[in-house]
Parts: sequence; structure tokens; C-alpha cells
Amino acid sequence: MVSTGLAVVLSGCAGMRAAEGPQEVNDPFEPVNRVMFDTTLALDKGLLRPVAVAYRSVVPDPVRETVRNFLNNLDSPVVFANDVLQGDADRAGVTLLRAGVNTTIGLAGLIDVASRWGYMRHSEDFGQTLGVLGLGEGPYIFVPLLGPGNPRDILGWGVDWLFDPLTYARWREKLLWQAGRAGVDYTDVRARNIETLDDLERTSLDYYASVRSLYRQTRNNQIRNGTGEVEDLPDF
Amino acid sequence: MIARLPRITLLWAVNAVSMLGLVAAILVAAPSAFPAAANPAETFVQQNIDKGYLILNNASLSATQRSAQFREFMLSLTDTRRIGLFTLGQYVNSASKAEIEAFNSAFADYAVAVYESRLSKYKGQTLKVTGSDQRAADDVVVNADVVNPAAPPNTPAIKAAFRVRKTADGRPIITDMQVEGIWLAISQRSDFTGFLQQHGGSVSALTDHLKTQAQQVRAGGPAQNG
Repeated sequence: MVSTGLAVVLSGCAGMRAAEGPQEVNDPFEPVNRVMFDTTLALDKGLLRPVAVAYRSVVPDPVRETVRNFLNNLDSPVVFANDVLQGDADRAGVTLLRAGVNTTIGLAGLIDVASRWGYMRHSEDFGQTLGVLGLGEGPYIFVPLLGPGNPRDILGWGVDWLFDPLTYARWREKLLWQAGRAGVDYTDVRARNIETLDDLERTSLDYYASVRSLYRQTRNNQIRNGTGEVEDLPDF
Repeated sequence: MIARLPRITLLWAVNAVSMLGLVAAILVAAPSAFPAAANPAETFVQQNIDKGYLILNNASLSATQRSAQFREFMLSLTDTRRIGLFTLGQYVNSASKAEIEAFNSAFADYAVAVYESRLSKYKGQTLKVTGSDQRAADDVVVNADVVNPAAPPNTPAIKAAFRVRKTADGRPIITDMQVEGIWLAISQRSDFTGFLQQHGGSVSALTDHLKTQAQQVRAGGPAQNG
């Protein structure tokens, strides 16, 4: 009886997969995820979005660009480590060059000189590295405040933190500075996505499901850029 | 790093082989056949993008006229019935014919509103076809770059793509559009099936919401959280 029950569940899952196409729902924690999503959304509306809007209107563009450049430059070691782990010598070289040029000529990363020379920034993380190596994402997990994720990507966040040299450095008031860095980074990213997220919410019937789909498609796109494989698309 | 070397070499080998294949195909193809046979899907997309933008940028039309023209244009270019049925996912099986008909009508209206709104964001920018991937005989993904002439030099172009398939009578149609890796119809399917799951699978409820949503998209009004 147990094995029959299991077979029914599995065939049901398979049926759903077939109906859903290549992108399965794979959201076994959906009720909890939805609560986390709603909580984060409330926090976003109440605090995070207003702060981002204020940041964007009060801080002039060039200053925000400089802040962004500085923060991006701090991420270089993590990007470099993942370029190397993915075996992408070309991109690793670009990351190294960017870090070198921007830190020296670009005044500790404040100016993105390398972009003006045609060496564009790309982002990499350990979640992508695992994806490139063939590890599937696993079930959808919405992390409060941090946003959409899954076991592979969450593990990636942890490993990237270990790759960050600043994790090991010591200086006065380190915790405060790192918290400040995270706060400014978050605010800056939020400020760059105000209309995008507003638009997404306005055109969605189920904002939660839209965010889940967008997150997955974006991650797959990022990972595919590393492998060059052709996209798997549903038949319609 | 040394363990990675075989994979790097393999990637280069694969790229080299496919490049050779492409060169061979170009050399072998008859001169007269080449321009026409090369990429009808790409031509189809570029011509229609240009046409669409002519409508969107036509200052001599009133807003209502422009919307009406764009709607007619869009409906000839896509198959909203086909896309709509896809977005319902497994719930298409449990809905009545009348419900599906009402849904198709509301979805067509909603899709036009969303496309018009999304494409209008790129007004003043140029959309240029850069190539395509042939997935099957009647399934081509045409890639395009969205270039902002006002942006500083060296700014990477936004990557877009259009999925071109064929109707039953062989006419090309666009079934989906992608911007920076995100497909519109695939996202809509997640959105709609998520909504349906939360509303007991009621396609009628979905239809009502779509009508409201289409109005809000047109008005550019406040966000509504489903």
C-alpha cells in the first residue's frame, strides 16, 4: 500500500512536471515561502523602498555611480575565484585586469576606468559555479529580506563570503563597517530597481509566483552564459 | 585549475567544429538561395520590429488611434490564443469552453497592453536583430540587441530575443519575447498558474483579474498585489 501510494504521488508529480514543462514548480515549501515573501514585501513597502527612493533623489547620480564602482570593486576577488573555478580563463583575466586598473588608476575602485577601456564587468558567484558544474537548484526557498533563493544558491552565498578577503581582515569597528557596506549595497541595488519591481508588481496577478519564475529564469540565464548551452524551452 | 584544462579544450573544440560547420554551410549553399533561405525568421522579426516602432513613435496619431493600430498589428504578429492556452498550464483541462473563450478574449487584451507598455519603455532606442538559433524546423529564437543611443559608449546592449514559430498554415508568428534571459509567456504561465492555485483553479476569477490588470497597465496606475 505504501509503495502504491508512493507510485501515485510520483506519477502525479511527473504529470505536473509534464504539464508545467521543463520549468517545474518545485516549491514544496510554498506556504512558508509565501509568508516570508509577504513579510519581506511589507518591510519593503514600509522601509526599504522608501529608503531607496530617498537615496536616489537625495544622492546625485555621479556619487551613486562612485559608490557602486567602489562596491563592485570590493567584489572582484569573489568574481575572480568563481571565474577560475568555472575554468573561464578569459573572464578571469578581465576580472583581474579590472581589479588592478580600477584599484590603482581608478583610485581604490571609485572610478571604473576599465569599462572605459572596453573591459566590461561581469558578475559571478559560487551558486553559478555549482550550476555550471551541473548541480540543479533544488526547491525554491524565499529567504526573508535577502529574497529568492534555493539550496544551491544559498550555499553559494556562504562560500562567496568565505572567498571574500575582507572576511579575514581585521580592522577597528569591522562589524559596523561590514554592516554599513551591506546596507549601502542593498540600498543602491534597490534604488536601481524601483520602477522594474513596481512594474512587475503591477502586471502580476500573483507577484510571488512571478518573482519565483523571474529568479529562476535569470539564474539559468546567468549559468548558461558560462556554459554556452542552448536553452530548454517548453513547446508552444 | 589543471583539472579544468580538459574542459576548456573541449569547449574550444566544440566551438571550432560548429564554426567549421557554419562556414561549410555558407560555402555549399547556392548563391541565389542563400539570402532568402538564410534567416527568414530574422527578416520577419526585424521588419516587424521596425513596423511596430513606426506605430509607437507616430506622433501624428492620437493615443487612442496609436493603441488601436498597435493592437491590430500585434494580434497579426502573435497567436494570443496559443499563448493564452499555454499560460493556463494544467488548469486548461478543468475549465469549460465558455470560460476558455472569455479568458482568450481577456488575455488578448491584457497581452497587447503589456507588450505596448513594455515596448514603449524602449522607445527612442533601437532594436537590432543580431542572429538566431534554429531549435527545430518551425522553431527559431531570433536574438536582438536593444541599443540606447543616449547611453555612454561601451555600455553593453540589452539582450532581447523573439521566439518565431509557425501557424497551422505555415505563417510565421511570435510566441514569446525575452529580455535579459526572461521570457514573457513563461513568466506569465508561472504568474497565472500561481494565481489559479490560490483561487481554486477558477479560470473565471483569472479572467476578471486580467481585465482589471489590463486597465491598470494601460493607466500606469498603482500596483495591485495578487
